[in-house]
This record gives sequence, C-alpha cells and structure tokens, in this order.
Amino acid sequence: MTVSQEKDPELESLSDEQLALALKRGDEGAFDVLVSRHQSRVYAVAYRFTSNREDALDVTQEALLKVYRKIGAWQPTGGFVPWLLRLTSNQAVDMLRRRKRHQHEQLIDEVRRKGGHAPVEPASMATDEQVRAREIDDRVQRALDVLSPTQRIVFVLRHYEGLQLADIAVAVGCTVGSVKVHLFRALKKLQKELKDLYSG
Amino acid sequence: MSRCRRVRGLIAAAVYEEPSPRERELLRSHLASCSACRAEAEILVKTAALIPNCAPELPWDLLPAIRRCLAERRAPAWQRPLRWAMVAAACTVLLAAVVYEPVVSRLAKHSKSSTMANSSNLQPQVSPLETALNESAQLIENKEFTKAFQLLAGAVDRHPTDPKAGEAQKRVADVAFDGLAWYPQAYAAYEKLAQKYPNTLRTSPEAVWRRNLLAETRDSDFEALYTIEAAARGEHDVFANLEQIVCAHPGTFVASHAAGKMAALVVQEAEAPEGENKHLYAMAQARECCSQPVAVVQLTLEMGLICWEEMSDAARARDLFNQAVNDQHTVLAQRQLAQDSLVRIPQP
Repeated sequence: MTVSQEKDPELESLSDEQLALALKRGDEGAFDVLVSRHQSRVYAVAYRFTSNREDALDVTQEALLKVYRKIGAWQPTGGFVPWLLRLTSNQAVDMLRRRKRHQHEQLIDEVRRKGGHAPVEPASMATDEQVRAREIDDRVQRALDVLSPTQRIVFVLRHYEGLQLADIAVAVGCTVGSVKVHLFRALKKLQKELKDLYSG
Repeated sequence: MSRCRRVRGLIAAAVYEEPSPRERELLRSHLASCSACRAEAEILVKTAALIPNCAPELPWDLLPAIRRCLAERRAPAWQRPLRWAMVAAACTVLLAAVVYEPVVSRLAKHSKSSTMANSSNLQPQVSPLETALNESAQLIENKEFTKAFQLLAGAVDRHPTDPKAGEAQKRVADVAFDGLAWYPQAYAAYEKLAQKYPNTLRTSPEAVWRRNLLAETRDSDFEALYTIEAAARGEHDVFANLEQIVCAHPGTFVASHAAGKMAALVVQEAEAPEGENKHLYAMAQARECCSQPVAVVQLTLEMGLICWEEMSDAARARDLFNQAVNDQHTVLAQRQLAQDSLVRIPQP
C-alpha cells in the first residue's frame, strides 16, 4: 500500500491527540495525517470482524469518515487510538448485524469454507511456517465467529492490536474487571474451537 | 469454586499483561493450591501463543476515496434535495394545479384594481418584503416561529431582488436557529444569505458567528447543537451538563455557544451592575461557578473575546488571553485560539 499524499512535516510530527485537537479546530490536514497513520490498523481490526476484504474496506472507510464527523465528541482526556478502534469495532459489529439480518450468512460461510477470504501475510516467515500460520489464521478467523460481539472486540483489541486492558475498558465502556472476564471467556471458547491444533 | 471464578479474569489478563504485585500474590497463592486453575492457566497461555499475531494488509490507500466522500457530503445543504424541501415543492405544484384558475382570475382583478388605486394614490409604496418583515415581527412576538419562517422564506423566494430581501433572508435564518432550533434549515438559510446577500451577512457579526458554528457542526449532523439545546432545556444539572459540553469541545464554536448558555443561566441580563458590560459580567459570574478547569479556561477566552470584540478593551482582552495561554489546564485548541486572538490585538 502506498500513500501518495503530500505530507506536512509539521503535522506529521504531532501526536495523535494533538492531531485530533487540531482536527476539532477544523484543520483538515490533521485528518489526512490521522487517516494515513491509522488506516492499516483500522483495516486490520475491521478484517478480524468481517473476515472478507470488501466488507473490511467498507468498515474502514465508514469508521474513518465517522472520525471526521464525530471528532467533536472525542474527549481530549482519553487516548485517540482507543476511541478510533471503538468506532471501528462498533461499525464492524453493526455490519455483522446487518449482514445477519439480510441472511447472507450461509453464502458467506460457503465462500469461507472454500477459502474465499483474503489471505493474511505473516511477515518474514519460512515457507512451512507461513503455510502453517495461514492455516491456523484461517481456523482462528472462523473461530472468532463463535465469540459474542464484546468478547470479539476485547480479544481483537488485546491480542492483535496490543491495547492495554484499561484502554479497552474505556473503548468498550465497561470496567477493567469485566474486560478481563470477557477476555477469559474469549480465550476459553477459542481454545475449545482450536484444540485439535495443539497436537500439530 | 467462587475463588476460582474470581481469579479467572486475572489468569486471562496475566497472559497478556504484567499483574500488579497484589494480583500476582493472589494468583500465586491460588495456583499453588488449585490444580484445575493451574491447568486452565497453562492451556490459556498455550492458546494465546498458538494464535498468530499477523495483520492483513490494506490493499490500497483509502485517503483519496475518503476525501471524495467528504467533498460530496459537504455540498451546501440548500443545493441538496432535502426531503422537506421536495415535499414542499410537490405540495406547491399540486396546490397550483388545483387553485390556479380561480386564483389567477382573482389576482388579475386585484392587479387591475390595485394599479388603478396606485395611480390615483401618491403614498410611498411598501415593498412586499417590508410587509412580510412587519408581519413576521408580530408572529415572532407571539412565538409563532413556524409561521414566521414560512412567511419569510416564501416571500424571499418570490421577491429575491427586493431591497429588503437580505434582511428578510437573515431573519429566516435567525428564526430557524433561535426560535425553532431547526439547524439544517438555519445552515441552509445562512449559506443562502452568504451567497446571495453577502453585504447583509457582513454587517452582522452574530450571523457570521452562527454560520461558522453551523458549519463546524454540520458534519456531525448538528449533534452538538441538539445536545446543547437538550441540556439547556433540561430540568436537572443544566449548568453541569453545559459545562460538560464545553469540556468536550474546547476551543470551538460549540464550546463558545455552550458557554453563552451557561452565562445566560447564571445571570439574568438585568442583574448586571450599572456601567458594566452585561455579557462580560454574566460570563465572569458563570466562570466562578465552573468546576472543570478546561471550562474555566474556555470562559476566560470568551471574556477575552467580549472585551476585544464588543468593548474594544485591548488591555483587558490581552490580559485574559494571556491567562488562557499560561493556564496549565489549557488544551491545545484553546491555547491556539488564545494565541491567534493575541496576534489580532495591537500591541501597546
């Protein structure tokens, strides 16, 4: 992925929170920098929910547009990234709900069974390891479907995005204790789904 | 068993994050005595380690597409087919079809008689929009804002070149904003004022300010303005709720709008001491009641703006803006607003 936009070095040097405040003030350049900086991360989270490239791209675009529209609601006291990833997760969960409502589930399952989702490229791995990682990731991606929306958000933000549990609690709007319980349940469910992989 | 349930969250958390000394001790003592939880902990560590942490790659840069979307959505509201406007237009067409003939014949008679009357009467003519402005003033006094809005908007549409058209268009916008809290219509009306009657807009700092406020909130569907409206009309904690809004939007027109509502709440205009600027006095009183440092800074900024823009008191304005710049609680947007304002004020 290449970013062709001309960059403003002064804006580039600002932190996410400084850029978000500048955007609140109406600085459009700050929005461009935030998008360029975080679109890959937003897409990765969206993909963990939607399991296919097109939906993940839709979620990413809508979530980033929401950043622009809802920046007024962002509180400078909270971090920008947890807020951004909460918008993304909510957008993705909404899409999953819409998808279920439209009864496309069966079709998507079929596509997925045939390996229809975009492959994940684990960086710098030997070929055997790469194949094995893809296989596991494919299984994990399917296993994520058994998690409740909150369990899925907590697991994705902690495992893949490395967010602190305290930040996830802010993002999800619950206590750190609840986040830990959701994480435990998510890991237990995943363990059940993936237990045959342990021997390999 | 209940103890096991309590440490489960800690076990999952410890897979990813270093536990606190207290949590570590709790875990250590529990795992030493409970083989089931020990096994559980081992399997969770194994599960987390098994799941590869690899990210799917974004196939292309989304910024150009996002920019396009924003540009499309930002087209002036009155250029977009608003549902209510389309309904109104449809109703007009229908109405015209039904009443066209009798109305035309009546108008023709009226036109003839009025022409005759005008030619025989040398009294100065009152323009159609002047009449509409007078009628709307009465409606506004009776708080019949919807009727006033419809009367004026229709009159401006019919007589766009009337010498009073700019004034009438400004009143359309003011009624939508102030009387009705119809923000999309107010935005469209101020935009029309800016496009078609820019001289009228230029002579009204309040209209310019409202246009900026509406433009700032338009991309979030004026959500912040509706929140302010709801907070101001609430029965409980009105001041505290408005203060929260100020803190959520520091250094913006929204914060300024909410601060104005806070000032109006705290002091009735009549209560300002003689010789004191009533707006400045109200804002200072409201600042005394604030509990959040960011809100205190915002109201200091508002006081500075009043001193400079209303009172042309450069020394006092400069002092207030400097207070805002140097306050440790000032957020970036507020500091920049204060610094921008200081640049505008001539040095002594």
